[in-house]
Amino acid sequence: MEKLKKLFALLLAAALCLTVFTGCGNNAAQSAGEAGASSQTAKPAESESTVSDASNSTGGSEEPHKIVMIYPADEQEDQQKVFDAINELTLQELNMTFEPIVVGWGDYNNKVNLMLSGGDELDVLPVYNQLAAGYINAGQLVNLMDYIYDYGQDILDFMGEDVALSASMNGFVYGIPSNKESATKGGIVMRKDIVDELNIDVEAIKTYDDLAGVFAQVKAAHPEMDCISGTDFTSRNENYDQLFDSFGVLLDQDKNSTVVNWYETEEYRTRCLRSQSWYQNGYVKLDAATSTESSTNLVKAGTLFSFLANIKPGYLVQTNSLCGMEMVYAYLGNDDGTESNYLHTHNVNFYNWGIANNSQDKVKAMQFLNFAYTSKAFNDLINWGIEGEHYEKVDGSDVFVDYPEGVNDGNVKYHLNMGWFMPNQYVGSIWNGQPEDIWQEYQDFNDSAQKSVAFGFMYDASSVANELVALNSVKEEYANALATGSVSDVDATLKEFNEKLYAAGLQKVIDTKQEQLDEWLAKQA
Amino acid sequence: MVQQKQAVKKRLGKAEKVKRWLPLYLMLLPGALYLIINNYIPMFGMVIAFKKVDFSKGILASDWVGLKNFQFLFASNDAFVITRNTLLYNLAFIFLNTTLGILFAIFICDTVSGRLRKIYQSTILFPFLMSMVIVGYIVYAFFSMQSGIVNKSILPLFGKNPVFWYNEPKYWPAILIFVNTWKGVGYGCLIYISAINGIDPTYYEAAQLDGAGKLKQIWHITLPCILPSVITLTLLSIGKIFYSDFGLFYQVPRNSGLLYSTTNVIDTYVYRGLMEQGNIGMSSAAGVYQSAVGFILVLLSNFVVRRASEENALF
Repeated sequence: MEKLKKLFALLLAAALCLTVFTGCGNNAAQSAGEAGASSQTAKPAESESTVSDASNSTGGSEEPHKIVMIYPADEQEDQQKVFDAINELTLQELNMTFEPIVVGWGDYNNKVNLMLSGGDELDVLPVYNQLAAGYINAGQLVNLMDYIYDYGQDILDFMGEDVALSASMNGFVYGIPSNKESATKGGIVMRKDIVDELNIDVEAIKTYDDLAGVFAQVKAAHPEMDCISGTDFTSRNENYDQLFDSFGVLLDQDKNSTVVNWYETEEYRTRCLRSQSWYQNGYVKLDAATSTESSTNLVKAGTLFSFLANIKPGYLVQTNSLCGMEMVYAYLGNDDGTESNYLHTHNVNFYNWGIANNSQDKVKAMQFLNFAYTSKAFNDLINWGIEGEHYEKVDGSDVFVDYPEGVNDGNVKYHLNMGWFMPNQYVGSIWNGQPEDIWQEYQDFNDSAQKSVAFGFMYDASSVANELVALNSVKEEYANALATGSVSDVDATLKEFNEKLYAAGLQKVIDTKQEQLDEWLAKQA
Repeated sequence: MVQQKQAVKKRLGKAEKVKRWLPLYLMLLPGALYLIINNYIPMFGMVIAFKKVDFSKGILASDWVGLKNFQFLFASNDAFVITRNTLLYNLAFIFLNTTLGILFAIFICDTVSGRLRKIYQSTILFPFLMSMVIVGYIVYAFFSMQSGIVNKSILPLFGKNPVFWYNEPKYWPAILIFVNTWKGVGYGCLIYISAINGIDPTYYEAAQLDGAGKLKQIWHITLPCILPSVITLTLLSIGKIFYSDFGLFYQVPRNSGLLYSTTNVIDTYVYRGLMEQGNIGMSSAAGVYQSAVGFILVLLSNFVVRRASEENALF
């Protein structure tokens, strides 16, 4: 008993300490809340003084404002040099200092989560669309509607209001899309040497069913090689709208707005059966479902013939260098031979540049984004590095750039090449080898896409959060195995999969989506 | 603890007591500070589990939602599977790591000596120091369906067909338990070796004089003497019985969906379910649930130990 009493005394003491500290926390949080409130109320006044504000920032008389920007990328040897150059540029143009935080791809979402939750200093960031709803519901992002008309007019002019404001949920615009080829068109990418060796007619490959013949040929000639790898052979041809998480999708997305269970459709079953026949014929890498090695690396290592990918204009330039050899591709369409490229909210708004609620000065952050979307110098610096050192203009051309003398893929010290991701590659220089009208091609590619009726729609999943946890878990259990054909009985597995999905609350998610979609559609009309 | 007990027994005057034990309390101070800063202050975060966190309002000003964040842990059919897996695996781990750890410790202390002993000790500890990611790749090197050692070299020797290891859940309890034991047994073993080394050699001399054989000595001297360490280690593991080694259950089966029925545990379930959502309320709820159950279990098992032999209880 004596010991127990002591234990309780200790616990009590600890609890006391705790309350003292929570007291502090309370104050801090409150004052932060007040600060947020006061900045809200102060907003109209600020917007009135737009003109003087802008003149101030270019005048350079006041203390430079620090802009912290985070983005995912692989580290580059000379990145500090490039950041210094960008810093100089932003100081001159905006009277702001530029402080980037570069995080590896694998850590990015975690890191952003931590920074947004922990109240770290952060102004602008690319928001991954799958996580946006969570951030919005937790009040971690800024609604750009409050700022873009006053401080981001150039973005609206460049992109058009409908695209610029397309990343929104219930009227909350959480980010601005980067300018890129957003539509998707799936296809197969194959080793050119083997295609030539076996006289495979690439032109004749039009559908997924055509692949079996090709694989049989390759398997016969090169039994040591896997014909295909990857974790998913079923969702590349996006003739349906996943509506973000694929729990409830739109089939015939260009005319139909009824949300259905994708995993129960005949289309999905056909695709699973096809994957299974590939697997059983030995075309698929046996460990495909659990493989963590990228397909391009496997090709480079000489153990793989082909893989599926989303193919965009100029795709091979990048892929050839990743694979270390020449590749060829063929678009794969629907089973009836028709083909199209597709445009969904989640492609356009894959990553969107938003402003963190932690930002000290949201007006400045918006001004910075406005600059990032319109400055050629900024986009060239961040994508290609410093002129004369990491790239130079191709002789006699204003738009094309290439490596300087003696620099190449292997020894270049800065070459980020992430135009698909950085705010606006359309205002920047074009890498040599791409067509001159590449941006126009991208634009045409997007324009020619079959748009989903739900294009621009994003659903608020907060009321079905519990169901989604269970659903994600069920999906992880079955989807990869089905999509790589690793299961022995497709129909039985599908039945089990769907039973588990419904038990996990799929119907509720579908109903929620349908309700929000109908509401959204009614508003559009 | 021991010193405190003695202090109480001697019933010294208050001032005298403080003076006498002051140096010891001062020595305690850094550890206590560490514990308070690192382990107690963060407990304030438990409130997050009961809130719908809105960062624009701040954590404390966010709305209370009661137990809503906990629902997802019990809502699905998986709740039973993950709880069963977590519990059964941990029970197997505790049992095997303890018995094998003691066995190896006795074996190393009694039969090997000199330099060999050092080598054995280090060898058995080595896997414990390895990262689970690496262990995952070692296991993959054995069981890879296409190029693994087992399918390529071992099974053909016996004229058997290759097995789709990463598609068949039934093999995994055995594989995971083996891997965990291989990796974890060295740590417990080391503690038991030090406990055995601490036993007064005169006990053994006396026993030998009385004609006790090796087995008798082990049963009547070694085991009772290391019992306190065994109980402490076991109680600590029981406190973590609702936790699981995330690396073991995620990296080693290579997150293969087909294996979930035997590899899914609470930690991996929470990770998979919440990774896409980033909902910190629900993640905290999972943490609170695990630690609350662990806390209750430690109290219970300590209570049982105290009933059986009071001097061995943790508190």
